[in-house]
Amino acid sequence: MTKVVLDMSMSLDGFIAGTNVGKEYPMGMNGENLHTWIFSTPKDKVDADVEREMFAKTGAVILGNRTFEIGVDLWGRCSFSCAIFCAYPQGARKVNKEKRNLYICNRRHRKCTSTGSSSCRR
Amino acid sequence: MGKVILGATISLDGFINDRSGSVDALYPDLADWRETEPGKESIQNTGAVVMGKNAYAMSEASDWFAGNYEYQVPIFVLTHHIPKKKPKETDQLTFTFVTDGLESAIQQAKAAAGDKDVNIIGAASTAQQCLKAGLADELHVDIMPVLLCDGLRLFENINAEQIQLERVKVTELPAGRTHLRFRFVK
Repeated sequence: MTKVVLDMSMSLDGFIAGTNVGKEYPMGMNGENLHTWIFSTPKDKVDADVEREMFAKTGAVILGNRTFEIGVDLWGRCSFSCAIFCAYPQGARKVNKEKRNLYICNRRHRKCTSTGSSSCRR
Repeated sequence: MGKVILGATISLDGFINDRSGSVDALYPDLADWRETEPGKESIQNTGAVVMGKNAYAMSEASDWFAGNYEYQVPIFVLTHHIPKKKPKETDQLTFTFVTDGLESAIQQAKAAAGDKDVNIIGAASTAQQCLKAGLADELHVDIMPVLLCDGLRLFENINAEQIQLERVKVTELPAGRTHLRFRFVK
């Protein structure tokens, strides 16, 4: 049975990003410290297992507006290669063809339009 | 040389009590904690306790500690007013009321603990003072799987530059309690 999972990296005192989140500091000032577990090399075994499991088990991603807005140019594409859904009504025009796995959910019409194939391989 | 340990139990959203001041949601397993591995280890390794005045006041009767409290060791209570009547003591558990601050209480507790650890047990303000002044060697945080959404936050009013922690240990305990142990990187 499919589960819906809310997934976050959080500091011990409960923050999920630093201050001044924007294009200059996508994760906020010093916010990258929250994600070293996934980006560091060599990787801790537990971290590697959690990351592998996360990618293996994910069949679709829902991306928040803000993450989409800040991240879409930066990443080129999302780290997940499965179907990405984003509630971003104006976004459809901005998405180029390389981001083929991205679906844009139009809130007004309550339906999703694919910008390309939705193959879920990594 | 013993360590100075700051310990606290928090909700996943970082609160140490709820809106009404109750800690019940965070300690459904209070009676069983002594039998857990971290519980046994803590009782065995603790040579003295520093207790904030709110934590001390939370016990219904101060005579209860002698013979009943999990740590039967010298206790140093932070206070502004020394009580006229000293609570019941035993050979192991003694009370010292400290009026000149946390740092002094820790120094006195260290001397009493010898090679064993000093455990700082307090409500938010004691813990925050301790974090702010960098007085502890380790931070032991137990996280309970509950969102209290309101109450007193453990990590507030610290106003320190980033505090770096190194994870020492993680233990999953009954009742959904997750015991996290960190070392302060100094």
